[in-house]
Order: sequence, then structure tokens, then C-alpha cells
Amino acid sequence: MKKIAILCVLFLFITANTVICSDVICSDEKSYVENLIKSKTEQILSVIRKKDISQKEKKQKIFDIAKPLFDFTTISKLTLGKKYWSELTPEQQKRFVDLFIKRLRMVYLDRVNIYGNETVSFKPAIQKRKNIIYVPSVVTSKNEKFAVLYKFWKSPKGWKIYDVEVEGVSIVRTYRSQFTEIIKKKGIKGLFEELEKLTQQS
Amino acid sequence: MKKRRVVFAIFLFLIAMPWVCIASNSQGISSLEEEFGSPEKIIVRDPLESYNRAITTFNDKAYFYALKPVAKGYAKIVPETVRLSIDRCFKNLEFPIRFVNNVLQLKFKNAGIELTRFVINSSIGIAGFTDPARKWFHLEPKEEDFGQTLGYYHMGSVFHIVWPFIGPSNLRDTIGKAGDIFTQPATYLLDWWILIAARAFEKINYTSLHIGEYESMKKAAMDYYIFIRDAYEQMRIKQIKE
Repeated sequence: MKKIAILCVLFLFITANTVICSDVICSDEKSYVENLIKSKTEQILSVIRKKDISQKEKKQKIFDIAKPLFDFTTISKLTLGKKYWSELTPEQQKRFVDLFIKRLRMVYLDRVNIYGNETVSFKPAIQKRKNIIYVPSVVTSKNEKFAVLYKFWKSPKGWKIYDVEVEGVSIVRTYRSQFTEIIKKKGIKGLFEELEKLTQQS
Repeated sequence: MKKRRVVFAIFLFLIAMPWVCIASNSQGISSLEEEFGSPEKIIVRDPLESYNRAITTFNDKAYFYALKPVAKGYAKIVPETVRLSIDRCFKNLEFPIRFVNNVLQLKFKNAGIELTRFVINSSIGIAGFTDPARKWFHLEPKEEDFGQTLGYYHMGSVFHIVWPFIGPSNLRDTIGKAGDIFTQPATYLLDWWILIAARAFEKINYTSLHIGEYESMKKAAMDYYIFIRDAYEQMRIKQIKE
């Protein structure tokens, strides 16, 4: 009797594990993430190409489409680094995330004005780890092509982007070294002040 | 009794389940952290920082007060299609650099593609002004230079250095650029002042096609020297890996 019970547990355990990690699920997740970014990109491109709405409306629309794709808290955590992040109080952490979102929004939506005639093609997603999937893409503009890599991780709220690389240049990494530099010179307080100042411009 | 055991088993399973999920999740965040290293970890050695910052400011001024106005004026006279053709022509002329360095990195297939591209584009493509190799034969350029070759054989960037007018570089890529000059037949055929004039023209033409990009990059940065430096080094690491 006892044996059957143990077998039962083992069986359930193994099936549970294989269900979680099986290739079937993983490839499903890969195509899920791939389709997610594809459809969002298409939506964004169609907004960019629209001619009958103002730049401001465009930016708002794009932001609304893009926002749920990103895990801004994790992005903030990674750019600040574990050490500095853990030194902040929860209120400061929240404030930092808000400021950083504002900053990213200002900076990257600003580029809507420059781009417009680009085409985007996606390559098959790569399962980097069990909880990390990369989706490589190529943006073609005029004479050039450049590689954009979307890095997804399985957050508690589902698959979200935690970093984007453009031609190998990671957004998290470049902000991280700038933040580190500012913190070294002016301290965490100085970084907050600078972010407040920069995000007030608009 | 039997029932109780089964219930117990299910109970155990239910307890174990969330643990499996939690374990994979917590591994997630720390593995993400790992990817970027500790903030104190220096990825770019920069002993010349104060000199580099000064030159970066100089290049910035040179861009806004000289290069950009010239490029904008030039863009008003010359239509974009022509400028794009000129850009392709200059790229085509750099074929020896790409070919030699693909061979040096033992990428013979890519060297073959480059050779094919050069033959097609120089003939049917009318001296490289058009790019039928890409358009009709789907042959993409295989960018390699001597800096990348040195990196391929495990030479690090050593330290970062910013050159006036040229922009960010490092010791490895500076040696690389010097090496590339020797693989260009033009170096042996033309006078130095023609070469420099050609380089300046290439730069003006290139800039005319990319107005606004530097500005938006600068706006995106909080410390734009650090931003450009890190972006440059990261980009080169990727190019070397490929």
C-alpha cells in the first residue's frame, strides 16, 4: 500500500516536472513569445505609418501598445544593479521605476520622428534558458540593416522584455554604466536629482 | 487507509508544485543579474578618460558647427538616391578590407561571398553605385576589418581612445584601422591629400544620410561620453563574435 502511494507521488512529481520543462511546452512558449513581439511590432508599425494623426497621438498610441511588453521593474533593477537597488527604500524604488519609465519613454518615442520607412523581419526565437527567450530581428532601412534583439524572461506576470540590444548594444548595459558613473560622482541622491531634472523637460 | 494515502500523495504533490515554480523563478532574477555583472565591474578600461572626454567634446562641436551644416547643405543639392548610390560605391571600394579579413579569420565562405559581390556590383552594379548582388542574388555583405581580426585572435580592446574627427576607438581598433589602410589599393595609387579629401567626402555623404541619429543618441544619454564609449565597445564585441 505504502509503495503504491510513493509511486503515486513519484509519478505525479515526474509528470509535473516534465510538463513544466518538456520541449512541447517550451516550443509552444517560443512560438508564443515570437508571435507576441511580431503582432505588437506590426501594430506599432501601422501606427507609425499613419498619416492622419498627430505626433503626440502617435507616441501615446505606441506607448500603450508597447508598455505591457516590458517588465519595467526588472529593467530598473538591472540597470541600477542589485547593490544600489537594495539600498533604496520601497518608496524610492517605486519613484525610481517611475522616473526611468518616463525617461525611456521620452527618449525612445522621440525617434518616431526619424523612422518610418523601415521594415522589420523576425528570425526564429532562441531558448536561452528555461526562463529566457531571445527573439532576434532585422530592421532594414535605406542602405543598411541592423540587428535588434528582444530579450524576454518569464516573469511572475508572464513573458516580458527585460532588455533590448541594438547591434549588440544593450539598453540595460549602457544605462547601467551611466548610472554607475553618476552614482560614483554624485551619489544615489544625485542620480535621482538628475533624473527628475531630465524628465521635467516635457 | 488507502484513501488517506492517496490524499496524502496529492497533498504532497500540491506542496511540491509551487516549489518547482518558485525555484525556476528565483533562479530567473539572479540569472538576469548575472548577465550584467556587478556594477563595479569595469568592462571598459579607460585610463585616458579626461583626454577622451575632451576629444569627444571637440568632435561634438565639429559635428554641430562643421560637419552637420555642410552635410545638410550638400543634401539640399544632391538627391537622396544619388547619395545612397555614392554611399554604396564607397562601400564597394572597401571590398579588399572585408575580403582579406574574412580570409584571415578563416571565413572562406564569406570571403567567397564578398568576392562574388565585388565582381557583380563592380560590373553589373556599375562601379558599385547599385547593389544587384543584394537585390537579385541576396548576397549580404560580410563586414570584417583588421580590428575584428585581431579580436578574433583574442586581442582585447586594451584601452579606449577617442580620435579627433574619427570618433571612438580603442588600441586594438586603432591598430586595425592602420592595418586596413595597407589593404586598400587606393593607398598605393593615389596622393595622400586625395585620399583625405575622399575620406572627408565619404563622411559628409554618410552624415547627410544619418542626420538626427547622433542628436537623438545624445539626447538619450545622461552622460553621453560614457554612453558612446560603452555602446562602441559593446558593438565591437558583437561584431567580433560574428
